[in-house]
Amino acid sequence: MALVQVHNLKVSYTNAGTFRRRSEVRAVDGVTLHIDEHETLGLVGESGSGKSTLGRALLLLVKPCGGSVVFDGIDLLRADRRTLKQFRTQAQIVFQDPYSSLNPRMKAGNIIADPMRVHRTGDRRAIRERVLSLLDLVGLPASAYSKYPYAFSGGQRQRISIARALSISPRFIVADEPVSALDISIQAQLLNLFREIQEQQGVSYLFISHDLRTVAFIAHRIAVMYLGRIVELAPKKELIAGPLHPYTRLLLSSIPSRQRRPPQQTGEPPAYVRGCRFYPRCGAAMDKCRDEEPLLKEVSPGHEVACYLV
Amino acid sequence: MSMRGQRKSGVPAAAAGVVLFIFYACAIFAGFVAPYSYKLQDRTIPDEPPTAVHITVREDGRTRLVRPYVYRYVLTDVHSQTYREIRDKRYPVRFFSGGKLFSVPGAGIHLLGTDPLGRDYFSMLVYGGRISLFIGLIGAGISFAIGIVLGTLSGYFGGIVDTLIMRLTEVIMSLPTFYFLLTLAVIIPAGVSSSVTFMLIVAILSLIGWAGFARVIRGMVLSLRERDFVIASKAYGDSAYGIMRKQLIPNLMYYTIVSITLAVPGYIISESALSMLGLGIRAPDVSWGNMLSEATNIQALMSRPWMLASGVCIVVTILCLNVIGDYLRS
Repeated sequence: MALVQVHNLKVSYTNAGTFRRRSEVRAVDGVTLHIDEHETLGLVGESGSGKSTLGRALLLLVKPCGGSVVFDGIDLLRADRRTLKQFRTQAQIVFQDPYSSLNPRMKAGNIIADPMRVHRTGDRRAIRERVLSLLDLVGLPASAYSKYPYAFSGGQRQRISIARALSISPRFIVADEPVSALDISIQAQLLNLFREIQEQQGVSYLFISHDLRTVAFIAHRIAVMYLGRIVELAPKKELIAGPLHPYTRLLLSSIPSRQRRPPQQTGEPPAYVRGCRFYPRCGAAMDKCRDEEPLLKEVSPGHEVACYLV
Repeated sequence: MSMRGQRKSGVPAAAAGVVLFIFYACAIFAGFVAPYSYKLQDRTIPDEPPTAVHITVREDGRTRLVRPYVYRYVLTDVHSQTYREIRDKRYPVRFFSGGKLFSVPGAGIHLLGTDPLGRDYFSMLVYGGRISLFIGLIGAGISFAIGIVLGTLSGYFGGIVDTLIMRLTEVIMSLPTFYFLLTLAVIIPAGVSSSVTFMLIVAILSLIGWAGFARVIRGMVLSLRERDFVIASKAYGDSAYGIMRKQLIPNLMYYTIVSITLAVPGYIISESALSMLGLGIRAPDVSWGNMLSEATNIQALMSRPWMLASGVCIVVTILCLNVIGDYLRS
């Protein structure tokens, strides 16, 4: 059975303005997906497509307004406090911005130890030992223990974030664009670290990125998100080699390379559409696309697409 | 305020720090620094001028440096309160003897003269500093403690908690501070001891002072709580209390220290104003404020300008605190 099972998840943000009318933005609009154990699901999409919101909703850091999140057989939206506290040790998050993800007034050692202290995983000595071994695991010297975050570079800070996420041995980590803010060479190092950790500890990742290349490197399966919905979901190789949704094709053609011509389609996502969300930007749009939203359907084992073309 | 990236010179702040350190040290060790008790009245020497401390003697037409000494003063005219220095015998100033920083056996030493009751003005100033300097520090500390707790709660929880606390701050901030202070001070019964009065004044000042600070803290918490490290600690299930204690409040400390430094003068001034109007610290207890009230008589002030010493102390203290606060802020 899948470790994480998301069904028809919806998250919306409301702007309750005093002078304006209340407006509601559906950041995640009916997402269904699952993540297996030891698996990395890549989640790609452009800015504002709801990737981060989806990631945070899985950890209940934002409150979903509909649907369900089932983690290891437990329905999180119906779970009691104790179950949730238990869940907090099983799922963790790593953020994009290395400068905002660490408390500037806390030493690296305490940052990494804090989750263990909150959940009382051991005595002082044991926690200290574990922090040191985590530092070693993420490739930082033991001297990092008593330094404040300002003393570290962006890549090193991300390593501290990863160590913090790993400290209570979670089974699932939401990696929210963890390498996007870093230099290319450091990105590669960190992606390898993520892989090694998965091999050693068997964690599952939801790996969020706007960069298809990054996701193609680390993920087993890739989900493509557009305006709050999954438009295509397939095993990595299949998605890269044979993208079926026009939006996936657009994303793939946006990867700069020497062989390909620059992407043909451009444009910004619209604020609201009745039919297919991609209709205004789609080169192959039909009348039907304007009126009715295509649903996700399985075209081959494990490959789902929401498009009338297939 | 200085421009971004331009760091202020630390020299004025260091100098201000030294001055404040001396002031606070004198206040704490008042019993040692002051040659007399602030309560000691000597009715035979009202309004004596400051004692001149000599360090030279003229012998055989030549001036020679000696250890400090003073002469005796004698009241020559009771009505105009004129004093004369009697140069018949030199009384050496003794240092570190009899548990005092300095003293003159056999004669008196009044560095800033005496008041109409014959109390040593310098000693009163030193003891008065105890009240005035610590009222500021304790008052600011208490109101900042209240402000930081309520501001953090308000910003972190939002909703009804936020509404209640913020409306409360608005009520307090809409009160005309000084009149409210006066009204509350009048309630303090005349008979209570000086330490109780002190506590009540601190309480009154803190009660009014926390509101503005709580609002600023709330604003800072509103932005802090969206930062990734706070969200991360929610992800590993830390309690609201743990998040406030470990993630939020430490990140507010820097601002708090600067604000306390800049807020202390306000408390010192409020205490002085109350005491000067006779509603704060009352005789025989001394504070810089009630000492200053004696300097409101212009004729007395003309003949004895050293009565302004407590005012000078207030100004210097506030100046030093502002210099330090300004430096910390940059």
